[in-house]
Amino acid sequence: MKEEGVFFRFLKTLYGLGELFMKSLRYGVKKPLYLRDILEQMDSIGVNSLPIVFLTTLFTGMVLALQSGVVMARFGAKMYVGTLVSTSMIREMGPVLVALMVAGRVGAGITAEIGSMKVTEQIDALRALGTNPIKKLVAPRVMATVIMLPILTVIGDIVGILGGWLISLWSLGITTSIYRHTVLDVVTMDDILTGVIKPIVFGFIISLVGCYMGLTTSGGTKGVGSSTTKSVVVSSISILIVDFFLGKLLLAFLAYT
Amino acid sequence: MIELLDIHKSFDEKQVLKGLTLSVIKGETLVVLGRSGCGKSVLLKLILGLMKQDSGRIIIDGEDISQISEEGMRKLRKKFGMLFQGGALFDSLTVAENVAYPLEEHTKMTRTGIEEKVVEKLALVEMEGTEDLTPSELSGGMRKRVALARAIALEPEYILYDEPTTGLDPITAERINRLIKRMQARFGVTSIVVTHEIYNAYMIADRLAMIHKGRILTSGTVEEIKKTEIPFVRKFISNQVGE
Repeated sequence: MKEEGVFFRFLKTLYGLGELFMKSLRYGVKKPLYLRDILEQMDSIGVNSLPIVFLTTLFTGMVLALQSGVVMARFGAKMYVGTLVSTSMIREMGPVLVALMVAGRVGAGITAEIGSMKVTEQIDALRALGTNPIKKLVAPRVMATVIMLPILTVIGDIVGILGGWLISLWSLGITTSIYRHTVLDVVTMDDILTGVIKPIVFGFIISLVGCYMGLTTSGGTKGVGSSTTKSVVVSSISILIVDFFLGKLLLAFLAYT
Repeated sequence: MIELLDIHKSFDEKQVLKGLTLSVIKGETLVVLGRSGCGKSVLLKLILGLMKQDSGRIIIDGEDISQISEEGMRKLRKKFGMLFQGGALFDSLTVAENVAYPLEEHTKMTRTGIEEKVVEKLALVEMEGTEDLTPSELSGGMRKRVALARAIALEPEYILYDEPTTGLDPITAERINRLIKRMQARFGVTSIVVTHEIYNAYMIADRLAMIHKGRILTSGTVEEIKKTEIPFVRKFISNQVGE
């Protein structure tokens, strides 16, 4: 087999992802809608990710408060721990951490499932039975991830902020009322918009990369393993890179000061 | 009727089919023989439009499938049932759900109607009472029989079999052969069976075709093939060709 260059493979993957994105949008809105599949995916992608999101964001909120509390105390700004925790969680930590956890759990799952179906000819069987696999498998997963990731992120933000509150109360000696004020008074609409737009974009990345890697799997069970690894690596790195540029774009767009 | 005219197909550098021409007459069971990796399964996938040929034409009931859109192809595929090599049952669904799948996708049948049809098709392949099992609970032969029940759920005109008896013990293989013959006798379906097992081929074929070096080397009835003087075919049928 001819060896393809890294750049060529990158372009091919990018093209494939773009094509899958367009097709999943086009077929996703056509009948039959496969509502049952979408609901099943929302349950497995969203509801089943709750424990992992809860634990990750709780401890992140707690550690943010703990570490920043020590540093901020040096400048006499300890009481603003709530501001730091809430803005960091809503703008950055929540969206990115939740997306990374979901990429690991859900992205890998999507690739492994679709990849196994590919190598056991189940995708061909779907097509042979007159079903469009993009409509049946890809569109419901993309839709479910794009809907559930912002919801998971908002839940994660709240849990993180509550984690910060626990540490502020127990370890930093900040009262609940001060913490509440420092959180609520500074959070703006721009913060919330940034915190919700990001997971929508990340949701597309995780689900499309997961499905694409699954659909392009070859080489039996070994192929499923390597596609799954690739899926997690590609979506995690993409999330981190896109987070930077999207953050910059949103800052400029929302004219943040 | 299915006609394949001058089909070429390559994968990366490897040319698998090099000008293959073959026609399948309505109502017959055509067995396509050839060594492993000679492009037999590719042939079936090309007919179903699951793969595209590099050049050449495939004509199904007078329609050139390379001129048909993906949507049109999906409609055309309803005329076909395909039995994949490993069965390709959906492992997230039960046996009954697998057989019901094409009915739910393509018909407006009621739930009871579908259930009755599932029972009928499972009985036809001698798999009664397995409705609630999952594919992972079935043996290889059972999986192929359920896959056959799924393939015939929409009562297709054509059934394509990809290595239906490979990897099965002689008794189970005999059972599958009997089922293939039953499909032809009872429903008059046209079948294309791809295999490298000469004994099973003799059991079911109306006509045999041998692929070698990307083309059809010869074709004919079982008797004609048995009498052929072509050295490769002689070697193949006397089991001197290794895998």
